[in-house]
This record gives sequence, structure tokens and C-alpha cells, in this order.
Amino acid sequence: MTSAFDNSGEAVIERTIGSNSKYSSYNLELNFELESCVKWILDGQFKKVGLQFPDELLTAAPAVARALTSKLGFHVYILGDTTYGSCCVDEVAAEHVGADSVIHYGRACLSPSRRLPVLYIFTQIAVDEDAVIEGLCRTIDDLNTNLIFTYDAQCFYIADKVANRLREKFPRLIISELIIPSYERKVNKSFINDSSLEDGKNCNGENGSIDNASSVSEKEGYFAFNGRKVKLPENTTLQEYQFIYMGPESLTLTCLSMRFSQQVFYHVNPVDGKVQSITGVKSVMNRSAKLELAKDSEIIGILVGTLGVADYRNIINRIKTIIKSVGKKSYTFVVGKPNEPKLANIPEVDVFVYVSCPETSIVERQTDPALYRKLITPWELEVALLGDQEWSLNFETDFRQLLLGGSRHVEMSEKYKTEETANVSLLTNKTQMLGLRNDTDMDARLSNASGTMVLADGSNMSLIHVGGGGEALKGKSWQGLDPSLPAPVNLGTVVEGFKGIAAGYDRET
Amino acid sequence: MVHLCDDRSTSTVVIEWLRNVCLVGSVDHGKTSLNTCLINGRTKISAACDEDILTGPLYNAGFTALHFKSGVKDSKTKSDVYLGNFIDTSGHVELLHEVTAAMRLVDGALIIVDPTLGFGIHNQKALGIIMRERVKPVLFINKMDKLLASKSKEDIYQILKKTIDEANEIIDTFNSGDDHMKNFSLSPSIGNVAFGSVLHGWAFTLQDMTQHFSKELKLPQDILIEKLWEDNFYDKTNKTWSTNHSENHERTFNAHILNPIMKIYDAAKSLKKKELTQLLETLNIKTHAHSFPMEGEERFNEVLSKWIPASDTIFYMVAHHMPSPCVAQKYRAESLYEGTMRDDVYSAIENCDPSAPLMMYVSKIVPAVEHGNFYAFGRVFSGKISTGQTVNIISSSHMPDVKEEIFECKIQNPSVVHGQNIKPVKEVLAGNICCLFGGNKFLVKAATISTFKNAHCLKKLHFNTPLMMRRSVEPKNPSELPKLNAGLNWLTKTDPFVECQMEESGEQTISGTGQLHLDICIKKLEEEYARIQLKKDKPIVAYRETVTCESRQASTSSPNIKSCMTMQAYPLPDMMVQDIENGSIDLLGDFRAKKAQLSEKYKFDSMDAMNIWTFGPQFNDANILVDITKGIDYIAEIKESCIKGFQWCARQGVLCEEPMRGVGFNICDAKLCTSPNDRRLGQIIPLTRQLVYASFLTGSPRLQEPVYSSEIICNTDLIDNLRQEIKKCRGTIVEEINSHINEIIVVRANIPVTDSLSFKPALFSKSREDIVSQYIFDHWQEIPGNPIEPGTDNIAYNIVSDIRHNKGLQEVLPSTSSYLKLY
Repeated sequence: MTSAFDNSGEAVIERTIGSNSKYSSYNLELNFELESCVKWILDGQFKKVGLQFPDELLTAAPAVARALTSKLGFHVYILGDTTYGSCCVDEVAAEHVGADSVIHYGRACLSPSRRLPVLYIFTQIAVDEDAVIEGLCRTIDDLNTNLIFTYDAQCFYIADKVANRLREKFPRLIISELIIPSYERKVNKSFINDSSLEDGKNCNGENGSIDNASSVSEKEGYFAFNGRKVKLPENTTLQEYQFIYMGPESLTLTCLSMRFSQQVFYHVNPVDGKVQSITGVKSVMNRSAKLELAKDSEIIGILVGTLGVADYRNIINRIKTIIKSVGKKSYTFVVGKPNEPKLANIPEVDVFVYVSCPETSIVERQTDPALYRKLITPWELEVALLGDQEWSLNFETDFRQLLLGGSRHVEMSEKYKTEETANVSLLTNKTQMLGLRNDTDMDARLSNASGTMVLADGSNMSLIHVGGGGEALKGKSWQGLDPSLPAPVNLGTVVEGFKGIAAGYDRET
Repeated sequence: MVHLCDDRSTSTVVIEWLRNVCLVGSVDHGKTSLNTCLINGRTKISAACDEDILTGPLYNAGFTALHFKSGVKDSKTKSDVYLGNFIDTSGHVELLHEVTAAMRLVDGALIIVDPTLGFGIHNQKALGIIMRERVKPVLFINKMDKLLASKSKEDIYQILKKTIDEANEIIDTFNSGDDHMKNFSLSPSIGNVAFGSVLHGWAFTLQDMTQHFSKELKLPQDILIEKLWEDNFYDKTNKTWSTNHSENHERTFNAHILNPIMKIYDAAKSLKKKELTQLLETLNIKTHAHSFPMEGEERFNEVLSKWIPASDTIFYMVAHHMPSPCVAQKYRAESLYEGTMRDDVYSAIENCDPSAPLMMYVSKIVPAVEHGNFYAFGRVFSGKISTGQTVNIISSSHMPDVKEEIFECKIQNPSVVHGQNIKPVKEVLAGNICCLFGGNKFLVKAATISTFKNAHCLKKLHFNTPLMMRRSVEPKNPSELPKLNAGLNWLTKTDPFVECQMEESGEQTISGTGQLHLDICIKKLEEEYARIQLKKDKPIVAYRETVTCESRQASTSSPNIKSCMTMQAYPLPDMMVQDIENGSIDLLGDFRAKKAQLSEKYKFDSMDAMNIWTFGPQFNDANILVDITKGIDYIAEIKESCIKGFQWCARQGVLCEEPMRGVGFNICDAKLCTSPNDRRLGQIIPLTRQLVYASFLTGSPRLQEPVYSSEIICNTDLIDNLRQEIKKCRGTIVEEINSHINEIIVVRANIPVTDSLSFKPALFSKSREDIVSQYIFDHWQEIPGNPIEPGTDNIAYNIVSDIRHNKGLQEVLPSTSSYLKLY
């Protein structure tokens, strides 16, 4: 299982690429669906195409690029070392080369992106149909069980076939579909139909955000979750269903099982048909400590883990408002792929809210302990700080559901203020404060402090920054250089330096 | 004359007439009977007592306030009505923290002991707490009727003397030599020891008896009382006194105290009505034998309860041998206040000054019947607390010099205890026990409440035992988790010592002092606080990780390869570890004094002692980080980062993430990057952690387990079984005391806590309920075997891998080299 959250990048460096890869003799046509890529590019009349590969497929990248170039007649660009999780479309990297479209290879979380047209090529993995079906029949005794068939995107090409065969055994099985966001230009806007799904092509919603797509789906009786949708028969609720997940063990499965933690997931391995039944209850319960962490914190860092997923700005603004309304402070950080040393450089922050695509936002327990400060998801933050957002066993990894129009949206006005409450923290056994005190003292001090000049004689430092980072600064033994001390050496005269950017100063060209 | 509060009751009581008293005693020694006896005695004194105030909501909390007369009028005030605030405490040794919490509120402790069972482990430990808090003890020796029935006079004397001596021994070890505490020792001839039977309502002190005999013996009372105890003998025929025993001489205690009582006993038992009447007349007891319809022992007890009623005796002791708040606070102030002596707060407490600003300590929080409310009991040490007052609440987790954990709020509903009820009053003055009713959100476990600007806190309660057993709970229905959290919140607030912790894995664990404590907590949680059904895991014992020899020097570089450091681990001296844990080194106090103490007592290099950076994982735990480098650039700048990294490691050791204990780490050398940005927290914390772990692993690490000191009372015929059981559980018998009656034997043994879990059920399954056992933490003991060497019969290794498995850690221990790899 690859986590987007590599501890020090060490794993990437030490990973031996190529030698043991199962793609050693690539069947480029089959695995990378070159034909459809070419067709998509030509149809869309794209001129600069970025090819995004996850690390484990990078070895195949040159071959794919060469093949495409020869077919298209112009160069394509390889985007390696994704800024955030490799499951998301890396629009930032694409913009560096000024690409007008991206082809994303490998596993994808299917989070809708903001700007560029994207073609998803999932790269197929081998599925032993007979073994899968046999394995499932052996495990699930009751043939009349209500089942929802879900699958990894890499098994997408064969999902319908397997599902149809399974339906012969389990009459009450329904299949979930992938919601593949698409931004086709000009081309025909046919709504989702089965034939387009079978072709492994993009089924298209309207050009725009997924809100539209999912609301369209809901109108048609679909229930959308985690980049998937399912059409439930009438008069049934999701509670009555169990899930089948076909695919290798992955964060997608973790997300799904946490989203529906009260349901049983039959995880079937596509290679050998081994079936494991799992539930996400344990994982959801395990994360409950993080709620307490959010309540305890005074300063919350908003860690931006995506610049591609649509609506990320909206959620950041919403989180800021929430944090302010309960009397805590927030700072926003963009650090690329977060790792231990990077985050430990910001010790003033008590906890980070990680805004990213659903699959990267869950940081595994294995990597988690190494972090000096922990990461939580936006949903967890809302549960902890907003009284109205209730905790439940349906763990929401998709922050877009929290926004207006999402299924977990909670109304919150701009001037929302929580009354001050105090409680015992179950982590530190200290007092835990939430909400704003109903007095104007603080406000007055704040408004006084900003604007008036205060003599910085050390003791007054915190007055300047009252309620801000100044308090954290005051608690440090090293507060920076003392400007009142004379400079150790005579200062020289000021001369004009280079102009321009570091990559090429004016004088150098 | 200072009145306690404006409208306390019909008769106003001045502070000199107030007594705050705690009742202490082991289970089965008769504590509850004593309480009832007091309440009944009080009823006899004033008929106008409202019945309902004695069965108020505080009945279960053990709080009672009574007005009583002591029989002697004060010459100045012409009043003889005292007010006593009585607090009953738990008799289970595992719940000693309740005693600790109660001691803060009171000035005197009434210890009740059953001499047939010895002084007892609970009383021993409790007495230690009493002395530490500078509370004055008085002793009540109970169950005299049993002794009289089965023992000879000289035997009785010896048993009594042994019990009192045992108590004095503990008092002497804790006595700091302070002038005020000199008279803390117990002696019947002073009058602070009483003998009797509370169940039957009779008791006497030697003072009582001298009143009866001084005329007869033609000696003044104060001389006579001296002669009634210790080795004083009386020759009846020659009427001479002697200090040597000879044939004609009988011990005075036996002759003058036990003799008459024995006579009454014999007469009453053998139904000799005439003799009894005669006896009563000579003793000047104004009742008639025929007014006692009962026979035998019952009649004897009835006679005695008329002659020497227990409540009178106890009230007299409380009034005359326990200090009033203003007397007690003179010598208690020093042990109460964290700040320096001779500041305003100190003298306010010392003088119990009601006109000074408020200092109050809340140490006991009792949930009220209505969900969401509680009674918070606190002692007002100076000033007064009144409705609407704005105060600072300094929570018990406050650290000095840090602004955190201080909250400002308004006081509502100060009340006092009245009978067993709460009575709201306008204000409560210094010296009294005040009850704050309601749901003050800032009060957790304990807190200082003050109106002084810049006051230090009152000292935190010190609990001698570590939390060494924990149990994880989860709701049966997972979606009820929020309810469980709310319940745990309540539990944390109301129990003085329990720790409810949410592990990083999301597990909810409750840590307590032992099985009994945990059982009680979980029961409260299920029935009162959370009201949900719980899934409970098996109790888990806490371990400690330590090193046994000086380690190799470990050195490595920071993740960016720009700084490197060398560190060495070594075991701290046992004495030092114990002293830190007992709180006898004041780690937060004056730096220089602390350092002098370290270098003198534990042979610390005085330079090194000056350079101790921190203790860990908390500021009062026994692991240290020392900087022994000289002349390293920028080392002061990375101090904070190192401390953070070190405390993290000390909290979660390398073996199995249990806390470290008794390990010192020296920073031997360092080379730090010149650019401040490259030696920030992010670089130094990983560096420190790796060094701590690596040096720890090379210092031949060991695991330590907690050991119980236990007291088991059982019938003599079970002793062989018991001995075997103890042996099976790796326990060692320390002492076997043959009780003086009833074929009962008291066994004291040390049993590892881990094995005690299987020991207890084994006890009950074999011999049902004729066994009473009590357990309390005694010390940490090393588990033999190297925990990092795999082996099937290596106990330490097995325990470590078990814990690692339970915690979801990698089961194979990381190797030293994995921590020392260079980036």
C-alpha cells in the first residue's frame, strides 16, 4: 500500500524500480491504452499533453511517451514526482510546462480537479475471474444478501463482467459505477450510459464541478460516495447492504470501509480470489482520539495538501471561520508533500487539518506516530469544534461533502460564535477550552493593540501580538536577535545587487 | 471573636471552637460504627436535632457537620458548643488517595484501629499521609470488648502497647522536628488515645478514669495519669508505687483500669445482680442494675455505655486534642503553600486571617444526585468566599511560571455542611470547609481558588502510589462513543486520582491504583456518568523501562547531516529515584538548593548537577537529561528542542512504549550547524530521540514491574494453602502475625502486581469469604532477563513482545544500529 505520506522520501529512494516490477515486459498497448489516449488527444485538439505517472510506473514512462510522440507527431511531457498524492491529478506540475491537458496513469482517487481536461488511464491489473467468484461464493453463505459491488479503479475494465457473473449467484447484487470527471471540449455530451463505461472511457457529466455531477446522479436515484455512485432499488436503504470490494489492498478500501464502517466489506483479492471480511469500525474508533486533539489545541495549522482538487479554497475558508468562531487560531501552510522534519519545524501548531483528496487525507497509523503534530481531516475538525456536526460511524474523508450542497453540510453563519465552555481533556487531563468568552475585554485589548505603538522592551512583546503568535514567541528561550544591541561589525555601504529571479538573473543572460 | 458565618445555626460558633476532623481506619476496624456513634451521641446531646439533616444528600459522601459539647466550658467565651466537620474516608488501602484528598481539608485525624488485627497496612500508609499533611492524629483503639472476653489483663496491656508503639514509630519517622509537631506522638497518658467499643457505645481515655480514681488513690489527676501507663506498678497491700515489676506489684493500668471493668464484666455476665449494683455504686454510676433488662455481655456493654459513653469521650478528645484551624494553620502553612515564606499570602494562611484575600483549596468533588451538578468541597485557608465574588481558579495541572490553567470566574452558591445537608450561606470564612454547589466547569479534581494577585498555588496533593493498572473500555454499541467520552470527563473530574486517557490508537483507558479502584470507576461510569454498557478489557499492569549500566556513547547526526551529538545513558542511584518519587526533592523549588542536595546526597558532580536540563517525562519524574559539554556553540539554543525530544522518549520508552524510570542521559558532545534554520526543532527532535533510544539500548536495559505489599487476614487453618498460593504467584511472605483471638492470622507479603491478578480469584475460589485481602503499591522490581534478547523462557522478552503486540507496535525490537544510521 503506498501512502502519499512518505516519511522522509527515503522509501522512494530505496525502492528498487524496474527490476522486480510486474510491468517489466510492458504491453504498452494494453496497459496504457495508447489508442484511446491518442484518440482523446486528437479529439480534444490538445497541443501540450502532460503524462502523469505514479512512482512505481515511472520506468515505463519513456516508452509510453515515445510511442505517443511517434503517433501524435508532437512531443508530450512526463510529469514525475507528484507534488501531492499520486492518486490526484497534479495540475501544478502540468502548469509548469504549460500543458493544456493531462493523462493520468495508474490508480486514481477520482477527485474532481479544477482546471485541466484529464484522461484517466487506470492501467489494468490482472483479475482471475473464476477465483474471485469462487472465493466470494465460498465466503458469503446467504445468497440473498444485499450486496454492493465496488472495485478498485484498476479493475474497472472487467468489473461489469465479474459483477454480471456474480449476479447469477447473488440476485440482489448491485454494481457501483465510477464517477469519472471529465472536461471534454466541444465533443458530444452524452450522459452516462453503460456502453461508455464498458469502453473504459470517460463518462461525462457536465463541464464543471462534481457538485453538478453528483446532484445529477442523485436526481436519477443514484447515491454518490467517494468517486462512486450506486443506484439503490426503491425502498431500500444503504444500511441493509454489505459490500464487496475487488482490488488490491489500498487506501480506497480503507476510505470506503471507514465511510461505511457499520457494514461488512468482503475484500477479494483479484489475483488469487482470497476473501477477507473487514469492517472499518476499528479504524473509525481509533481515530476518535484525534477529535480530542482538535479540541485541546490552541493553534490549528491548515495544511494544504492539494492545489488541484476542486473547492479546496472554499473548504479552507470555511475551516478558518470555524476555528475563529471557537476562539482558536489558525495558520495556513503549503509545504508540498508533508514529512516529519517539515512539520516539526512548526512546533507552535498543536494540530494540522489536512486538506487533500480523500485518500491522502487519511494518514496511516504506521506513519502517524513519527509526526510531532498529528493530522486530522476537515470532517474531524468540524465534529470536534462545531456542535452541530455530529460524530458518527460514517467517517467522511471527502471534504467536499462538508460544503454547501454536500451531504454532510452544516449551516454556519459568518458571525457564528460559540459560547465558552470548559471541559477536561481526555488526552492531557488538563482543562480544555472551547468557544469565545462573552466579554468584550479581549476585543478591546485587541483593537487597542493593533494600531497603537507599543515600546518593545521585551515584556511588552506579547501585547503587540496579543492573541496571536506573539504569545508563542514569548514562550521561547530564543526570540531572535535583539535590535537594541549594537551591530558586531561596522555595516558597509549598501550597493545594488542582481535583478531578476534565481534561475536567471538579468545580468547573466 | 470571629464568627464562622452569619447564620450557621442557632448557636454561633467562633473559630477557636471549630474542629475539622477526618475519620481514618481500615475496613472492618469499626469506622462506620464510629460515625454512627457520633451522630447518635449528638442526638442525645441536643434533642432539637432535625432528623432529616442527618440523612441528607451527603450521607454517602461521608461529610457530616455536628455541633457538640465537650463538657468543659471555656473560661473566656462561656460557651461549650463546638462545631465539628467530620469527614469519613474509605477504609480500602487501594483508595488511599481519597484519604489524601480529605486530609487537605482537616486539621485532625481520628484513627480507629482494631488491636486484634494489629495496626494494619491501611492505617500505616494513612498515617504517613496524615503526617505529611501535618494533620494531628488521635487514636481510638476499638473492639476492647473482644479483648476483655478472651485475654488476660497483662496480655491486653501488651497488645495495646504494641499497637500504640507501632503508630508512634510511624509518627516519629515523619516528624520533621517542628516545634508544633512535637506533641503529635500518641500516648494514653496525654489523653489522645482512647479505648473502647464503638459498636456498643462505650469508650474511655485515661483522663476519664483518673476522674474516678484520683480521690481513692489520693493523688492529683495529672500525676496519677502519668502512672497509669507504661511500667508503673502498684502494691495494693502496702499502697506503694514502683517502676519495677515484682510479685506484689501489679501494673497500674491493669489494677486501676482493667480491673474495675473486668469486675463489671464478670458480674454482668454471671448475672450477679447484687454485686453489680454494689459495683456501680462504688463507681458512682447513677443507674440501677435492674434497669438493664439484657443479660450477659449485652448488659455489660449497656452498663458501660451509660457509665462512659463513647461519643462523650470522642468529642472530648476532638475538642481538646485536636487543634482549631487557627492553631493548626500556624504550622501547616509551610507545608501548604508553594510560594516563599513570609510573603503576604503565607502570613494570611498562617494567621487564618478572614480579612485577607481568599485562599482556598478544593480537594474533593462529589457528584450530586442531579446529573451534571456536583459538590466541590474545599478548605478556606484565608479570607472569605462569598456569592458573586470574582476569583481565580488555578487548576491542579497548573505549572508555576506558566500562565496556563488559570481561569477567572464568579462564585455562586457557597454553602456549608449542616448535619449531612448543604446549607447555602452568604459567605464562608477562613478555617471552615466550604462547599461549592453547581457545575463549575473549571474545577477538575482539585484546585486553588484565590483572589490574591500573583499568589502561588497551594501545594498539590501528593499521591504516593503510581497509577499502575489500567483497563481499556469501549462502548458495546460503537455509536455511543460520545456518551462514553462525556462519562469519562465526569470521572476525571470527580475522582481525585484516576486518569482517563485516550490513547493515540483511540482506545479509552482508565488508569487507577489497582483492581478495586478500577472496578469502582467502571461501575460509576456504567451506572452514573455515561449510563451505557461497556466492553471491558483485562486489566493491564504498567511497567517501567530502565537501564542497569552505563551505556556506550552513541552519536549520530540530524536528518540534514548538519549537526551531530553524542549521548550516554546511565542508571540513576536508587535513593535518588525514590526520593524524587516520594517528592522529597523539591524539583520545582529553588534551583541552588536542589543542586546542592543532589551533589551531596547522591554524589553528583556539582558541575553536572548545575547542568541538569530537565526531568522527564513530567517535571516530577525520575529521569534526567544533563548537558556535560563544555564550550559548545549554540547549545543553549537547542535546549528546548532536546528537552522536547527527551520527554517524548521518557514517556514512551524504546522497549514497549512504557515510561522510563531512573535513567539519566548525558549529552557528552555536540557539533551544531551554524545556521539557526538548520538546527530547529525539526532537526533536533529526531536527533535527540535517536540518541536516547540508541544509548538506552546499549545500557543493558531492563523492565521493572510494580510489586504490591499485601495484607491477608485469614483463618489459621488456611495458612498452608495461602503460603502455597503466594509462592505460586512469585510472592514472598514478609511477616506472619498471629492474631490474639479467634484463630486469625495476618500475613504480610510482597506480590508482583501482574501475578496478583491471578492471585485474587485463586484465593476466593478456594476458601470463599473467610479471607480479607488488601493490596497497595510498594516498590518497583526488576524483571530478570534481558528484554532485548529473544528466547522462549526469557520472561522479560516475552512481556515486552506481548505489550508491543497489544499496542500495535512492530513486534521485533528495532536494533541499536537502526537508530544510529547516518543520513
